[in-house]
Amino acid sequence: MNELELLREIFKSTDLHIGVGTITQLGISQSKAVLRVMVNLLPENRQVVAQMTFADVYSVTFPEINDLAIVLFSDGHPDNAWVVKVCNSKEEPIPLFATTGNTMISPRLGKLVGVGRATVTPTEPFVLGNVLLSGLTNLIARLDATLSRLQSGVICWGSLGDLSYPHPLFISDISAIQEDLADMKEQYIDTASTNILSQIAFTERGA
Amino acid sequence: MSYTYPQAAVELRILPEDFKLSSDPVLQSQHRIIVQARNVTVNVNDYKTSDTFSVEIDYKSFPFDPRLIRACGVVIYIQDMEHLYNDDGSLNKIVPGASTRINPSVSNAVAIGFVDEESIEFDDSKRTVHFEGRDTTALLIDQKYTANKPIPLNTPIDVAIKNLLASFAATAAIEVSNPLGLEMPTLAKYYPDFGSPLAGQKNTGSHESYWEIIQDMCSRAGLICYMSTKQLSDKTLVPNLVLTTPRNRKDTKDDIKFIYGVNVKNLKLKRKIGRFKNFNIQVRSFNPIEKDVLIARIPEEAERSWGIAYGFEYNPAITSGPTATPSTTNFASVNIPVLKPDGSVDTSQVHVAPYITFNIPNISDKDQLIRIGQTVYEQYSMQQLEGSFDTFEMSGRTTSSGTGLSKYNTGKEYDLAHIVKQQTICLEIDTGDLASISRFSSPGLRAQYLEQRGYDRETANMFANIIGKFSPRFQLKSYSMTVNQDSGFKLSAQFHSVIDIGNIGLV
Repeated sequence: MNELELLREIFKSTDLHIGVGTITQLGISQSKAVLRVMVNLLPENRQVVAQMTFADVYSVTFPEINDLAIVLFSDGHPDNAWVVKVCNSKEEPIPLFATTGNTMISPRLGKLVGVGRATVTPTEPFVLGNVLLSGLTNLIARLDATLSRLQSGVICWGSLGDLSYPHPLFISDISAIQEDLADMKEQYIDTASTNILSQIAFTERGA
Repeated sequence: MSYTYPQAAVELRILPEDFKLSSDPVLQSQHRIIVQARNVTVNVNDYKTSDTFSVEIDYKSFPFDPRLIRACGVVIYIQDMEHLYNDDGSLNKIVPGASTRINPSVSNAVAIGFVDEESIEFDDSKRTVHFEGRDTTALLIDQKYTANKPIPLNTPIDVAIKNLLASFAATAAIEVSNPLGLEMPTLAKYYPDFGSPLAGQKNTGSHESYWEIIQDMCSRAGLICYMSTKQLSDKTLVPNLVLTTPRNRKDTKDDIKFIYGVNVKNLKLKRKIGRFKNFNIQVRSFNPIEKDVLIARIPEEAERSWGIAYGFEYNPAITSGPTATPSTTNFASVNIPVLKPDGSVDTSQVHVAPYITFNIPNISDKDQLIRIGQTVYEQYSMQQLEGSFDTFEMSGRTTSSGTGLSKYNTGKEYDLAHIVKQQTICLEIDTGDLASISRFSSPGLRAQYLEQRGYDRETANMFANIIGKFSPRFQLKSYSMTVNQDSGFKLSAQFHSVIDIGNIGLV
């Protein structure tokens, strides 16, 4: 080895400034100020503790075990490690809606999306527009049918002193509408899988 | 000058070459061979680098070709044999592991290490085998940390280092010692948000060696460490990692006395006047949880006891108030004098000396940062004054209660073959040059003496007041010890200033 090569070897920087690895462990600090993650740097299989960063201080999604993460080492010092991004992989493919250039916020499987202040757990589900539209359309149709029935057909019949009785046909028509409304209540209000409320997106009323 | 009969022997722990490509060296048996050395040199370097040694053996004593040796451990024995022949007329040969005369509880083993290179040299005048190698530090320097996981720091640092060494079979036997009895800090406690999951662990770099990791851990603890040796109760020599501070806290009576003109040759002393004379130290640590940079400035925020012992003037006006804490106190910063055009000092201006700054990760405790800063300050201060000397004596004496030349023979005898890194020495000059002026006990009489010899009054007064005021105490930085069959024993030592303000000069 000539002198130049020797000097080059001596002064060769071995600092790692950016690495990629999989997350193996998560730990939120007692103060809830930071999330620390253990990252197994690849391909060398070296584990480091890094502080997690997010899209914004209040736009936060925790990574999951085995997520692929980009780790930055400020000043090249191994103890100044920050996870600056997690990356998509075959396990976490790009959301379908985003593949056409749209913006998409997808919660992890089994997780929820919240919109609200950082100090509040949002419990108010978002209303689903199409379902609400469908429910309102059905409701209006039933109301319209009721009004049309009142305008068009025989309502009462017979007389017994001052009393008159609803016509059996009218009772039958009204009962059908009533049953429809009960079905609609079940569909649009009572049943979680069909009602007008989102099951994954929540907000809060706010101040 | 005393007569000594130095001898050196080398114990070679050889793993022979078995000429099989696939064999496992771990399964091979080790062979111990003891040979008399023609020439042995042990170089004890500064604490961050490995000590080295070289051994020259007559080929007839060790007729082994380098091709026969796969690996080789070495223990070096050096001893003053006191006489050449025994009473029965036989040669008085060094016995490896034998007790030394000065301290029978220690053996004559002085160094332990591994051979890096073996060579044989044949010419018309001699046939020799050369070994060159390094001490056990080399094991830690060469070995990259391969455990690939962060190092837990939730135990006192000596325990954490011992655990780290235990994780690698070759280093598991290394002892860790704390000779000054310092409180061993638990580094995890200083992490921001200590106690949280994943906090309090040290990451490692991809190419970091065990030695770099240990040095880094020690710097965060405000300590330094170096590899030394330690004799166990059965006199076995084992590698020993010493955790200590740059500053020597030993009593002056343990200093080994060296006097130019008595037991010192080739004395050199130099001071880097312009370079490190005035400086401040600043140690910073960023706390991402608090979004805060913690700063410790030394000497301003040094511990009171440390600063006073160092010679800084304590400023009692700052001991109370919101910024003062029981554990820290304040001193003035180190300043650089501002000169007027006529050369005199402008006392109306204060120019603070530059801050030499160090960044330390994961320290959220101000007191700990101050301790780190103090250690750094001590390391920098020592570089102000340094020098070297040679001695051919094998034994020396420690100082007794005083430092005068007459006390040379009253101290405890010390075996220089067992001198250690960081040993404090008392270095005096006995040339007679200062004999005349030393007779006068007061600065006034000394000034008068100088005036009579042609110095102007101002210069005479200045010299009379400062002459001899320098401290004779130094600390060994590194040294080289040689035993040669022909020329005997030689110790070449490099020393630097020790932090000591106790000297009162000639007054």
